[in-house]
Parts: sequence; structure tokens; C-alpha cells
Amino acid sequence: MATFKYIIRDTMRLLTRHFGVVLLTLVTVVAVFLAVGMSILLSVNVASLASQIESDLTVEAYLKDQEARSAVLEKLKNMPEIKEVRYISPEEALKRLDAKIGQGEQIISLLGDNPLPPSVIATVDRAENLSPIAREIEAFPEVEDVIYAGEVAERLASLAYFLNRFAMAVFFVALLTSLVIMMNTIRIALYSRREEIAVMLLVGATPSYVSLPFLLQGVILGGVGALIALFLLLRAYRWLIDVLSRVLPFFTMLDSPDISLWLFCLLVGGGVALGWLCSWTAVYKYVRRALKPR
Amino acid sequence: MDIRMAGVTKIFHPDIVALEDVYLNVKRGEFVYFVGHTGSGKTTLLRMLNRELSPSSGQIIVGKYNLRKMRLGQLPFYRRQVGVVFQDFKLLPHLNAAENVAFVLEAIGMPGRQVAERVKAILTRLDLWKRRFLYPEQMSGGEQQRLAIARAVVNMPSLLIADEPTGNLDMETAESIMDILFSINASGTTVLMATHNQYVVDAFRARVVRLSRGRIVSDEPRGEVELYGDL
Repeated sequence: MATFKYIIRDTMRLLTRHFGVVLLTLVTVVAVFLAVGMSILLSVNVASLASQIESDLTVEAYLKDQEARSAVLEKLKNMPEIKEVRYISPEEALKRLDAKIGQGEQIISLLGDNPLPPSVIATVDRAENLSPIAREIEAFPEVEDVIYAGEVAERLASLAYFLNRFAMAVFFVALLTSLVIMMNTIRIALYSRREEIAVMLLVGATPSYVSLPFLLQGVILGGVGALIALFLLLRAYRWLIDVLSRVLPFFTMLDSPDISLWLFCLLVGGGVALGWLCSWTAVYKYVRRALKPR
Repeated sequence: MDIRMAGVTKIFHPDIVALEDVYLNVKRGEFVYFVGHTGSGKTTLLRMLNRELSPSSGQIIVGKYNLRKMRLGQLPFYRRQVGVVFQDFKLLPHLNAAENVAFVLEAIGMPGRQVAERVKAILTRLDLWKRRFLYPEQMSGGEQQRLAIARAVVNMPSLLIADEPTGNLDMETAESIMDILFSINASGTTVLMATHNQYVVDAFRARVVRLSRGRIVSDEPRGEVELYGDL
């Protein structure tokens, strides 16, 4: 009990004695974990968007004019890979746009006419048929342009892959930065108390007794820094979800309590582990050297 | 604790011989002075007994511990049986007198109530209880020395090592320090003390071991010696 009280008291002393350095370390840890959290959120959102789009098995073909409708529909109905075909007139396209972003009438008043072309939406039977069918439709002389989810999904998948790698790079750079800064903070604390540590070891304190306040200091810095970063990150993410749901209503970001929990485990767990590792590395070597007879 | 040193040599890098082929036996409860010029090896010898220094060759056995073969993990438990009064006191400036003594007991995991009792008892014994809230820099040299002794003996060590505990003190204060050391010795603690103080050695008779250039040159059981007489 006395040891526990000493460790708590001493840890608090360590955290307050060099308050400026401790604060600077805390700010760095917060910044590092913010960067890590942001890159993780960006990466998972892009991956989720890619998989959402990938599951959409439709090809939308924009026609040159309304007269092309029957010819294109006829060709599409004869293709065995296509399960369903639907014609979208320019009026219906405008209604759909209006339903999505609610500015259809403004577009007409601005442009004087409905600018949307007629189109057909074809649903294919399997995902692997999406790209070949889309290319086949694109080759029709009556078709102006083709949009299909697969292409976007492929691009998003490669973006997600890049972002994953980017997140990993951010993670390792951030890890290294916080390792160096936290280790130096612990070293400053050790240096400022070198006489005290030497005397403690000379009167029979065990290395673990001497080390524990420093280890706890590292854990608190890492854990609290990660918690602050998590709080800021979740607030910013919530704000972004609200803003995007108004500005880009068709774009849905991941939004579930699981994300908060997952981020909590990852960031705070990482912060605590990082703090412990830094302190242990700095303290263990120092205390062993101080204890060893010359 | 009985102490046995056999053929102990300490060479500092690269080739400074601090102690050479030292043989010494000290019985439990003895009071021994170590005298000699600066650089004669007194402090090196005492630091080896606290295992701050390791001998280059030879054996040092203190009680049940063979210091040469002792594992690092055993060292804290050995040191709890050895009190040390350092030449420069090594008091912690940010702790007050009571805290300076208490932290030794806290460091070995003693319960809080027992720590408070022990601290009060030792500070009262050394006439420092009324000064317990003062910080080392607010205390006189004699008080700091007494506080260093209080810290060294609060854990009731079997062996007390004192390196020049009367250095830079006036005669009256030196006498009071010696009274304290002898009363601690009377309670069964082996006391080893390095000193330059001829008056102390004359006034408080005990075994005197004289060192010169790292060797023991004389060992008087109840020393009537001149510290630097034949050197």
C-alpha cells in the first residue's frame, strides 16, 4: 500500500515538475494520434465506399437522343447477361436528381432547359460480367457514354489500397516521432532526478520500485494524449458526417458506435503501449547502469 | 555483520591502483576507523563494502553475502542491511528532513504508519524532530550530518559505513556526531568510519586501520596512533 501511494505521488510529481516539457510531449502525442486516427478513418471510409459501389451491378448508358431508345432496349434485351433493363427519360432523370440534391428546378431556371440526356439502366447478373457488358454497350453507335460502378469501384479500390499504405506510413512515422519525444521526456525526468535515483538505489530500493513512477508517467502521457486525440477526432468526424450529409447527400460515411469503440481500442491501447515501451526503454537501461557496481 | 576481505585489489581504468592486496577481518559489533592520506584508498574500500565498486580481484564477504559473486537482483536486499553516511551527505534538496529519512523506508515498502513511527523515533534520538519540516539547505552543517546519519540508521542496519562524517564540522559538533555513532555501535551495529580527524580518533578510542597508497600499513586494536605519523 505504501509502495502504491509512493508510486502515485511520485508519478504526479514527475508530471508536474517539468510541466512545460510534459505539456509539449502531450501536445505531440495528441498530434501524432490525430494523424494516425485521421488516416485510419480516411482509409476505412474509402474502402467501405469502394465495396458499396462494387456491389452495385448496374450499367447506365447515356443515349445520343430519344430516338435511339427502342434500338438500344432491343439490343440489351437480347443479351443473356442482362437481367433487367429500364429506360430513364430526361424528365425522370431530372426528378431523380431533384430527389437526391433537391435543386432540379433551379437547374432548369438556370439553363432554360432540361440538360439531362435520356439513358437506360441495365442490371447484369454477376459482378464479373459488369465490365465486359459495359464495354460492349459503350460500343453501340446510339450510346454517348457509359457509367458503371465497376470502373469507379476499381478506382476507389486502388485509392483505398494507396490510402492503406499511406495510413501505415503515417502510423510508422507517427510512432517513431512519439517514441523519440516521449523517450526524451522520460530521459529529462530521469536526468533531473539522477541524484535521487542514485540515493534510492544506494539505500536498497529495487529497480522496479525506482522505475515504476517513470513507467506510469509514460503510460499516462501516452494514454491521455491518445484519449484527447480520440475525443477531437470523433468530434471532427461527427461534424464532417453532418456537413457531408447536407452537401453531398449521396455520399455516406461510416457511422456506427463500433467505429468509436474500435478507434478507442486502437488509439488508447496504442498510446498506453507506446508510453510503456518508451519509458521502459529509457528507464531500464538507466537504472541497471546506476545499480551496477563499477 | 562479520566482514572478511581477502586479497582485495581495485584498479581503476587504465592502471590506477586504488587498493592493493587488502586483507581485513571485522567482527560483528566492532567500531573501526580507517585513516590515511587523501587517495590512500579509504573511500574506495568503504564503497566496495556497499558494492558501489566491485573489486578487480580478491574476495569480500559481508555476513552471508559474497559481494564479488552477488547477482544484481540481490543487491537492493543487501544494501538494506547497510547504512551509509556519505561524505557529501547526499540529502535530497526537494525533500524536508522528515521526508529525507522516510523515503528510505518507503523505498523498501514499509507501511506508512511504521514509517512515521520510525522517522519520529530516529529524529527525536538525533535531536532533529523539531527541525523535521526544514529542507537541507535551511539546516546547519552539523544538522545535515545528523540527518544523514538518521537516514543511514533508520532502517536499523547491521553495518554502518560513514565516510568522513566529522569532516568540516567544529569540534563540538564532531563530538556530538561521534557520540551518536558510538551509541549506534553500542546497540550492535558494526561501524566502519573513514576519517582525517586526529582529535576524534584520540578522543573516541576504537580499532584503527591505517591505509597508505592502497595498502593496509597498520591495524591497531585500540588505536593510539598518529594518523599520518610514519607515512
